[in-house]
Amino acid sequence: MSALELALLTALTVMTVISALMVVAVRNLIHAGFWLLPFFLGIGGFYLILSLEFLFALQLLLYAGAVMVVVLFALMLTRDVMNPNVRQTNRLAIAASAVSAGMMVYLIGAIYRNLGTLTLSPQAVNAEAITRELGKMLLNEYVLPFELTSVLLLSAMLGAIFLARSPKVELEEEVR
Amino acid sequence: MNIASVPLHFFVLLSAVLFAIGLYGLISRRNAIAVLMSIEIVMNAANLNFVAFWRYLHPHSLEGVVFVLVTITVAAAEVAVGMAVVLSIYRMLHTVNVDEVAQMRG
Repeated sequence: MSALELALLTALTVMTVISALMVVAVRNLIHAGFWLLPFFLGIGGFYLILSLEFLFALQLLLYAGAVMVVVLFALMLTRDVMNPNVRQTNRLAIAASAVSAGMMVYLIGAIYRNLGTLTLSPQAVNAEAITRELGKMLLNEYVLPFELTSVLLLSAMLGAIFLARSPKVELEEEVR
Repeated sequence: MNIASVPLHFFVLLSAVLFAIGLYGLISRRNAIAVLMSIEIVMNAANLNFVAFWRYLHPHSLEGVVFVLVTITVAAAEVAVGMAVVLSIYRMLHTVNVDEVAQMRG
């Protein structure tokens, strides 16, 4: 690995981990919502390193675009998200940090015990061919999950509209 | 960037760290929207793991990527419905703190 590649990989890793930490730790929730952007971009960068250009584009469109905007809109429609005097953690915060630190130590320990099987070098692949093959697979072998996903999206959209609309009484009052 | 010099355990370690960070937010945040944001971190860590194992173990059959595609779509649907539920709760109870929302009846 050249020095430039190492620097790029380190920068990407640091950006992803720090922005994930900021998302869960900052008190101003609007800022937390904006910290999602470098986190999603960092994950997209790792997809690029793993030669998945299509997934990178999808990550930008869906996560960095749609999900972040929806989260920010919902934050702005509720109250007490930017008040510095309002606590944003519950009384489980210390227990939560202990549990997640324990989880991290356990996972890292498990990875280091199995380091022999995890130290692999990847085979070369053609990134363009992956996108082409993916399109073919989605419309041949995986056409059923693909179509089921569209049904899921449609029902989620209808459900979201149904849940988020104002009650009928308020609507009538607005018309008057 | 040439991936050949990045070992698989780097990606696995990274997604373990991201999973733990998301887990912390999931337990400790009060605001329901912030809890959903932490869930997004956990799901992204899982996606990274799927893709890394696919890339290193079976790069010539694309099952791992199809998994991630479906996961991303389900996450988008989850966010839409989750935000609708949060806004509905906010309209009824005027709070979105999960420790204050204690009744199932509207």
